[in-house]
Amino acid sequence: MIRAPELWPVPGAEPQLLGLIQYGGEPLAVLDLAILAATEGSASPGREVVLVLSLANDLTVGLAVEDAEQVVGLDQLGEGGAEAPSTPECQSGVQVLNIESLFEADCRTGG
Amino acid sequence: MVVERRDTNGGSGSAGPPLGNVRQYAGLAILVGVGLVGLVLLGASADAPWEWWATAAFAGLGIAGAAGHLLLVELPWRRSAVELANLERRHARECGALTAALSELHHGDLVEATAPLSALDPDMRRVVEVATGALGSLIEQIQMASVEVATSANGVRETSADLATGSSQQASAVVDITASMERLAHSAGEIAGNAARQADLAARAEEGGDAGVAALDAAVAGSEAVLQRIGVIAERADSLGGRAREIYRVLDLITEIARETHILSLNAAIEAAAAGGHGERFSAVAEEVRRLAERSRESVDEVRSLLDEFSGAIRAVDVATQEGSRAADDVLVRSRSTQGAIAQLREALADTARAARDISLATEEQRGSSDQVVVTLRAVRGVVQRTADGLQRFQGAAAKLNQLALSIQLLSQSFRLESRHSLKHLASRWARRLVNHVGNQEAVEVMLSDLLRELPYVEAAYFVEASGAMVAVAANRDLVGDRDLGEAMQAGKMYADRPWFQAVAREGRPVVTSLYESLLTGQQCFTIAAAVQEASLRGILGMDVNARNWTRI
Repeated sequence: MIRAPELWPVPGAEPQLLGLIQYGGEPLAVLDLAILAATEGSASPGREVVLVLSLANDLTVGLAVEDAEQVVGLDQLGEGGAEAPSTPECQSGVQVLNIESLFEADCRTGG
Repeated sequence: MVVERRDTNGGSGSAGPPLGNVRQYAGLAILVGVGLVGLVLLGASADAPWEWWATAAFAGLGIAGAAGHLLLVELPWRRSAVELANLERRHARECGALTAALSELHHGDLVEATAPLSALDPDMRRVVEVATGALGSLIEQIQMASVEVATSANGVRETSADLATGSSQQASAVVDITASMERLAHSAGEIAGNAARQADLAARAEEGGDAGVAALDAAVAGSEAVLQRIGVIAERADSLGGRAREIYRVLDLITEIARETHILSLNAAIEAAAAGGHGERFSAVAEEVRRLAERSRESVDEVRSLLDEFSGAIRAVDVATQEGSRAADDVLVRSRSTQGAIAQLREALADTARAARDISLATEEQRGSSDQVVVTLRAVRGVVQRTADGLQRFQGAAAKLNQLALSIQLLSQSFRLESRHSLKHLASRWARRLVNHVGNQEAVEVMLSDLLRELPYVEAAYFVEASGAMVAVAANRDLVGDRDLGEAMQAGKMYADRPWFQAVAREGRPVVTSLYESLLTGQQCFTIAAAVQEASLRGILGMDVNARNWTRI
């Protein structure tokens, strides 16, 4: 997780692509998780935390979120997958997103 | 000559008999003397030789005596008798003329009284004419004087009426002024009392002003002290604001550290999870670090919240101090302004107190003066009232004087004079003119109208025939106005029972009646009536003179 990195926007990019950051000497694309999860239609300020994800196809991407509260292991979730179990640390519900499939769908759309 | 002069001078009535006696005595004395001389001569010659001579002498003396008697006594006696008869006739004629003249004078007709005087001796006629003229002049002067007296009396009466009216108005005005002055005196007393009370109040207010000035001095000093304290508070509040801002910076720093720590703990937890079972303890440490970071953030939030409240309080204090400073400034400014105003008010109150005292003294003096004026006005009211009463008496006296003048005029008009102011004479003259028109009613009416034009003070002229029936009448419209003659004066009405008609018909002389109420105007008037006659009475001319216009005669 990177907190409030300096972000360079990309001209003509899709709305979900907020811009590029410098991560480990390499440019890293930062996507807006809220737009990807289709919870919001357009980018909004206040994305102070960037989650750096290393995907299976050796793809590294950054997801901009408002904040990161807690790290939760998937094994702590119940069997249903999509249903978020309540944890002692987090009283609100947790919804698990399949980031891989998210990017796959995006790749399919883009391909 | 002596006898004639005595006769000429009017002594004939008493001179006749003594003159005859003297002559008779003289003749008788001559005869007696001749007889005595004869007897002496006869006695002496009886025995004497000269008897013849004595007889001849006696006869001669007798003849001489008879001749002397004839010449000296008888002839003068006869001549005197003739003269005496002439004188007696002349005396009778003059006595008749004088009686006629005196009769006319007795009836007041000075014009006709001079007609018989032609029969008198010139000297006597001149004396009578002079006496008649003097009497006429005197009567005319009395007439003129009565007119002047009446005119003056009317003037006095009118002036007295005007003055009486003015005096009554003055008396009324004086009464009003007196009442006003009494109210003014009462008001002056009240003003004096009010002014005295106002002076006391102003003095008290002045004392209050002194106390107010002292209190305001203290208030100004207190305001200045409050302003200084507020300044100190503002400085301290500003200092606290600065400290709060420093605390905010520290809190921001702590918040930043907590967030970094939180991210760091999350990355540590991720790394611990990536380490699998070897990272469980590290994961627990990371979790504790995350919780510390979380509590730090919560504590910072609580502190920030408290600091926000603190900052808000400081800002409120700052605002309050600013407002307080402004209010203190306003209080100070207003206190100083009020201080000046109270000082001016104090001076004004002092002036007011002095003015009120002056007013009180002045109104006291005014009340005294008003009382004196009231007393004087009451005296003036009495004088004015007495003046009005006196003027009313003046009016009464003037009216009586006018009436007296009218009475004198009527008395003087009872004489007939050769004057245009003599009503009897004028009436007689117009009556002579009417003689030739009797029987011609139209001509009579024309003459009556001419009479009214010539004698404008006559309100009505009329001609009544000898039977007493009115023939014609004319009214002076300037005096009677539009009044209808009506039944008062109309042709055919009988006037034979009127005193003036009967007097003129009986005497044939003009008459003037006493005052009576006119049937035409209802006002006082008198009538002049004159006979219209030639050989016999043809009628009577009447003229009514209004008593209000008699001074125009």
